[in-house]
Order: sequence, then structure tokens, then C-alpha cells
Amino acid sequence: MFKRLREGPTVTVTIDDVEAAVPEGASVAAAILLKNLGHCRTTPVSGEPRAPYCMMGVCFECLMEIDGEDNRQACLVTVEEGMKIRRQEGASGLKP
Amino acid sequence: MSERCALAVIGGGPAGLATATTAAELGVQVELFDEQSAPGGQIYRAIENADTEHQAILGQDYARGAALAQSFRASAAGYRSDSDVWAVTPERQIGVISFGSADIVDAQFIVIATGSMERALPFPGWTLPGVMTAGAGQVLLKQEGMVPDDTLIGGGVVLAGSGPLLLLVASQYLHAGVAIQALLDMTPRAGYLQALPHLPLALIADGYIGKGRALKAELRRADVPIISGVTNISANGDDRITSVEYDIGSQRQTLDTGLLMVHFGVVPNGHLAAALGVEEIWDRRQLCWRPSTDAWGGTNIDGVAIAGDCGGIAGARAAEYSGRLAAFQAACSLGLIDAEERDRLAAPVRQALKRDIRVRPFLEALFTPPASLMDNAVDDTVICRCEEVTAGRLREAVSLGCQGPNQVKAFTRAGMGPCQGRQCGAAVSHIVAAARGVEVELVGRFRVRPPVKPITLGALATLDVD
Amino acid sequence: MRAYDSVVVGGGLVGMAVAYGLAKRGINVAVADEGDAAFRAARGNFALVWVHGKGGGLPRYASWTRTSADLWPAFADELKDRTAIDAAYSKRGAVHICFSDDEMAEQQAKLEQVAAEAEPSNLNPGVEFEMLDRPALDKLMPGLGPDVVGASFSAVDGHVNSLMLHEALLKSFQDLGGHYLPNHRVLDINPKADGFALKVGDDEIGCNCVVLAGGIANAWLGPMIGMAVPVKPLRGQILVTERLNPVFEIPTSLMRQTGEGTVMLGDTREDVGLDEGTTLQGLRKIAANGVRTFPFLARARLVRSWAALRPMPQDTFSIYSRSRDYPNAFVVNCHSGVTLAAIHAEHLAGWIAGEDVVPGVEPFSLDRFDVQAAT
Repeated sequence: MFKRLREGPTVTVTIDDVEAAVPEGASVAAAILLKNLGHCRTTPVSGEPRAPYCMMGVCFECLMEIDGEDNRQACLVTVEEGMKIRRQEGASGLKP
Repeated sequence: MSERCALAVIGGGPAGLATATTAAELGVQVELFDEQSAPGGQIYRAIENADTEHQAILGQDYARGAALAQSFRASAAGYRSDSDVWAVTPERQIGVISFGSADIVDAQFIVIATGSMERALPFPGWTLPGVMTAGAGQVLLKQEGMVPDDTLIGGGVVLAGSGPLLLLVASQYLHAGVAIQALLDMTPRAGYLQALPHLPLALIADGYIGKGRALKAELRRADVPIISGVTNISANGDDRITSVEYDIGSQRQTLDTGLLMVHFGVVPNGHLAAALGVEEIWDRRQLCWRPSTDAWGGTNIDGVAIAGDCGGIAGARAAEYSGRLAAFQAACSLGLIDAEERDRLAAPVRQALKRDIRVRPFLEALFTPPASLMDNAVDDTVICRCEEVTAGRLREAVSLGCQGPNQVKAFTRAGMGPCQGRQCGAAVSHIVAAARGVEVELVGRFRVRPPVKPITLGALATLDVD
Repeated sequence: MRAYDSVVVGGGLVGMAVAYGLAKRGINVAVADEGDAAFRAARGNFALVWVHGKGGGLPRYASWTRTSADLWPAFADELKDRTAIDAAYSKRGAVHICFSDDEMAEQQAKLEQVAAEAEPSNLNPGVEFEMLDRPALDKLMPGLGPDVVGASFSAVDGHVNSLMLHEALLKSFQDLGGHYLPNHRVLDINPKADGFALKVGDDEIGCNCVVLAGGIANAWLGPMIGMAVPVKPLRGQILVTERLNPVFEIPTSLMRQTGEGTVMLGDTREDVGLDEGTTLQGLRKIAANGVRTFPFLARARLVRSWAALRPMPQDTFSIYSRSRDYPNAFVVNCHSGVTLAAIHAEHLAGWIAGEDVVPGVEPFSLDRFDVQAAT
């Protein structure tokens, strides 16, 4: 849905195991929007898809699994080289 | 680890930066905590990275933030970026999470400057991917230099709602060469009439009215369709938005689009203050709760003051001024200056503040949505996004006898999700009030408790508190 | 003046269960309740249906609690049939976790004491428990931390969504013709020749029979009908995490995973008057216990915390008492509004309506405090 006004340096992350070059300094949520991935999570209530909404940390719609940690606010996390990003599917999958 | 500081400032926007810089200049030992990784807050987000080309897109008001960030960086104030404050106690203990570790900071004086957030106004389909706030669009532009990609959005972006920010985003997109399919102006026609009496005062405020008119004129020159008198928007789509519908007069219209950005004004981001127990009052003109403060931002909690928009919406410049006033009071309370000095320093700042906020009554009368917009959602509209609670379910709880948002929350789970009611809180109170046939201020609001930011049980378990 | 057969003062879990039970008996009942901002234990409940270990020192309390647990499955079904609200009642047993051999021995001794004091089987359907060592416990609930030594287990215990239970009671009550009166804080009760007049704001409501189920407010409402009620607030703080996929089915005395997937962690017992705030110390203590029990929960995020005031009778046991001065005035107090909801709706409401119930409520009378005062 989005494009960058100017190309700039990128870092490489994986999103759901697929490598992607994303802008250095961008938030994870912005990277998801830039890659036109549609949704970043499905809800634990009905399973419907959601995408970043406020981009400033107040709506908690952009929850994603980042480097193995569930339900992080993707709009408040800056991408880093090698970061592993996954869509959050439903509730946290934390296991004993 | 438990730490100490004389003055803790929470928030790195204009109010927080002005507070910290001013207090540091007066010799106060200051620490500023902010969840972002660079100073500026939302309004001046990523200001330190903005080159002239980027600033040209974002406009002159944005550039003002550069100087503010610069003087903050040059000051002796301590800066804790990437730090989420999840709790503040009446004993002035601050719970901070930073890069996964949880600290407690004991402060002698605290200034809360957590700014504003966009008013959440539920409408059918507002949870679909591809629907976001205009503020979100602005963050993407400031931080990442990202704009809507016309080739990926059938028909181009649609902007909808009311308020100065909507016009500003439209203008910024225009400068960036983005095609805007339409701007659906939902400002109630009555707003223009109500605002008129406030116009003379607004005209002598610092240039705001001229700017607003210039923005509109610019959009019209660029042939951006501005459709006035729009009501009842809804977003359609299956797993993402494909079209937006709206009423104009008695006619239902449809625009195909893959991106809808909405904006209904801003309200105080008062969650932290509320969780601390700061007394709030209902602001009828701004249609929101805001902390009850004295002339220095002081609250009912000893040694805790509020600065900037989280104390009531007044804009970025006013936030700076109120931040300075709070800093003078903090310095005085900490014994670095006496009351006479404080008042002497404050006098010109108060003058400037007074001049600046002359425009507010006009803007409030014009842009504040009528209460009916907050409470008329049809029954199957999702109100609580996190727990997916509909307007109908809320009304059902009221019909069982629930009198206010807290009992409604208990029965329906509205407000129990990760956002803790930040998004649905106002709408829930409005819907309950309307269903009961009483004023919003009578039904009250969600009780807020820490944590106001997520903290893991592991971090909490190892907290350094006695 | 509006008049009813009975008025229950207090619309929490205790008041609503009694009112529902009375309405089911065809009695014209009103519940006089406060508004949105009130001390509401019913909104802060931990929501266990808990039997094991209760009743030491008052055997009837053990019988009463066990009987309620036995009534619970049918009670849950009945409310679901009436309202379509599924309060997620689950009866798979519950454990009390011990972190040392001493704690195990202490818990075992406590449970054996309750069993030894137990009333005959016509009054108490049974006091069964098991002590589980670590291997036995691991089979029941994986993921426990290294500090856990074992636990006591009771098969009759369970848990429920207490908020949905509250809503189901409120709905059932009104469907039966009961009158729910919010914003009706009772300021005064005036006994009359033929009943009572309750002062509510500038208004009055009348009734033949009044039941005080006001929780901590019973302490000052009681004297209006000639009863001193020794009940005090005892604060409890509770944490709740984000929704997790199912991680443990069986609740512990301090942790349970709800039907929604959130994990609730309790609790504290603090004598702090009417202060219902949370504290960093309290939250830390609860989190530390949770992580010690289930180390994997260290990575779970806390979403909410709250505190509520338990209406705690002086000797911790229920108070069900008829006024000596006014035979149609009753006081009802307890701190286990969830566990006892079933028996409150069935037996307690029956007793108030004049039925004989087994086990009887006599041992719960306020008289026991007079005896204590006299010795």
C-alpha cells in the first residue's frame, strides 16, 4: 500500500521465514506496510486479520512475534539486520 | 536497579523537551524518559533526521521542532530513549522498561508530558486492514518517508473525518506527489456556525487561521475533491478494505479504495496520569476527559505536574510554553529558585501562551465531533477492537442495569484487551450515556490501573521494590 | 412508595445469588444496588470454586462449602439454560502448590484436621484430598519450576468466569420478574410495624423482608436493624496476562487460565482499610510466585492488574443471621461469593424464605461472636 519517497539503505530481515530488504531505521510495522503484506496478526477472539492502525503505540493492533517474543508492538520496534519477524496468529503461543 | 533523580519528565515531545531543557538550565537534575528512540514526540517525530527536502514536504511548523531537539541535546538533561513508563505511584516511584529490563526510579518531582492521541471514532469496518488513522500516515511520512502507493491502491487514498491534521496530511501528500482520491469532510455543518463567534479572537492568534485557509485553498487548486457534509462512513472488504461508503444528504455513495485514512481530532493521551490517580474533569468543548490542573500544571498528587496536550489539547507551541511553566514550578519546588524568580520567569511565557491559545475556542467549536457521532454506532459495529465487543453488546449490558463503563466492561470485556481501553474508552462511555439518557460526565470513564505499557511477568517478578 | 416482598441490599455475587434464589421461589424481590463506582468485590474476584482446606475450626463451613461445590454443575447448567450465558464453569480439580517439604507437611496436616473434624455424611458429602509428589503433579500439569515440591489436590474444586456468573444471575433474576435498582444506595433502614422503609436518596422503598448483602457495607448497615456485623475489608491484588494458547487446565490456589486464555494470578491479603489501589510491591510478589510456579510464564505479558476489597468476616466464616429484634431482617456475609453462589441461590434463599435446609445455617449465626465476647 505504501512506497518510499526516496530509496535509502536497507537491512535484511525475515518475515514469516521469507527474507526481505527493509529500510534501515524503519519500524517493523512500517516494514510490513511497505511490503504490502495485508495483515500483521489475526485476533485471538475471532481470528480476523488486523493491520497497523495508529503507528504510535496506543492501539495495539500491530502485535507481532519479533525474534521469538510474542505480541510485541511492531510500531515501536526498529528493524535490525537478521531480525526474525512473524505474524502473530491468535493468542500467544507461549509453551511450558 | 533503583535510581534517583530530582525531576523526571515523561514524554519527549514539545512539552517534555521544553520542560527538561528549561529545568536543566536552572540547574535541576533532570531525566527525560521517552518510548521513542529520538526526541520530538509525535508532532516532531524523526525531526533530527529530516533534511531540507523532507522538511519542505512536511512544512514549516514541523521544522520548529529541530531547534527544540537541538537545545535539549545541548542541555545537561539526562535522556532515556526507548523507555516505556508502565507505572507511576503517588510516592513518585516510576516503573520503566528499557530494552527488556525493568527499573524503578525515585523522583522528587514528576512532569507527565505524554501528549495526545487521535480520537477513536468507531464506524463499520474500521478494523479492516487498510483503514488507519491520518496520524499514522503522518508518522510513516516523518519517520520512514513513506507515502501511499497509487499503483497498489485502487483509486487512490481516501481521507475522511474532521480537524486540522486531516488538511495538513492532505497537503503533505500533495507536496509528495501522492494522488488523493477524495477528502471526505465530516465536519458537521453546524460546526461552522458554532465556530463563527470565535473567529475574531482566533484571527489575532498567531497565524493559525491563515494557515488553515491556505491549506484548503491549496487542496482546491490541486483539484483534490473535498466533499463536505459527509456522514455515516463505513469501510467494506473481506480481509482488507476495498471500498468506502458514505452518506451525502440522503444519498449513499461508494468509492473504491485500498486505503482509508481517518481523523477525528486529538484528545489527551492521559492513560498514565489516570492510572496514577490524577483527578480528571470532563471537557465539554473538547469532548474528552483531561486532568484537573493549576496554573503550573500541578495536580492533586503531590509533586506531580502535567504539561502539554495530555493536560488538554492546545497544540505544539502551547505545549512548549506549558512545559516551561512546569519546569519553573519544579525548580521552585526543588529549591533552586524562589517563588519570586519563578513568577518573573513565567510572566513572558504566560503572555505567549495566552496569545497562542486564542485560536482554540474557534477550532474546538468547528472540529469537535458532536456527541451523537460518538454514540450512534449501529449495533453490529465493533467498539472495542481488542476484544471485538459490539455497540449492541454494550447496550445489552446497559439494559441489564449497568450504569457505567466499569460494570459494562466487567460483563462484556470491552476495554480488557491489550490497549486497555485507550481506543474504545470514550466511545464506551458515550454509548452507555446515550443508552441511559444521561450526560457522559455522569457515567464516568474506565478506571485505569498500571501497567499502562505491557511488562512481562519475569520483569515484574524481579522488580527492585521493598 | 414502591414496595416489594423482599429487598436485597447489595447487587454483588452474594446479593444476586440470594435474590435469584428468592425470585425463583416466586417472591417479589428488588435488589437495591449502588452505581458504577462502588467497592465491588464481585468485579475483583479470583473466581475459584474452592473446597479443600476450608472449614478448619467450623465444621459446618466445610460441609456448606462442599455441598455448594456439589450443587455447582447443575447450577451452572441452569443459568446457561436460562440465559445462554456460558460462565465457563470447569470442574477438573485444583491444586495447592507447595515449595518445600515443610509446606507439604503443613498443608497435609491442615487438610487432615479438616477431615478429622468433618460432620457426618448426611451433612457433609465428603472431605477428599490427595497429596501429590512431584512426579504425580508433573503428570497433571507440565512446566512447573524446580522449586515446586508437590501439591495437595482436590477433585471437587474448579473455577468459573465470575463476571459472566454475575451477569447470568442478574439476567436470570430479571427474567424471573425481579427488580434490579441501580443507583439505589441505601442510606437508612427504618423498621416499621409491617416491615421496613429503606431510605434511598430522597426516596423510600418499602418491604416486608430485608436481606443485607452489602459486603463491607454490612458493618454500618447492620446496626440499623439491630445487628453488629464484624466484617472488615481485606485487600487482594490480582494480575492478568495477555491471552495465551491453553497452557494449564487445572487451577492452583493462586493461578488459573481462563476460558479466554488469559492467566490470572493472585493474590494478596492486606489490611489497608478502604484503599483499593494496587502497589508495585504487591504486583511484584504475585508475579514472583507465578514465575516460581511456572517459569515459562516469565515471558507472558501482564495486561491488567486490579485490587478489590474482600468483605472478610472476623473469623473468616460466612455470616447468615436473622435479627433478634426484627425477624424479617437478615444479614448475609462471606468472602467466597463464587464458591458459595450455588448454595446461596438454593439453600440460603430457601432458609430466608422459611424452608428447612440441610445442612442448616444455625452455626453461621452472629450469636457465635457473642459467645466469643463472653468468654
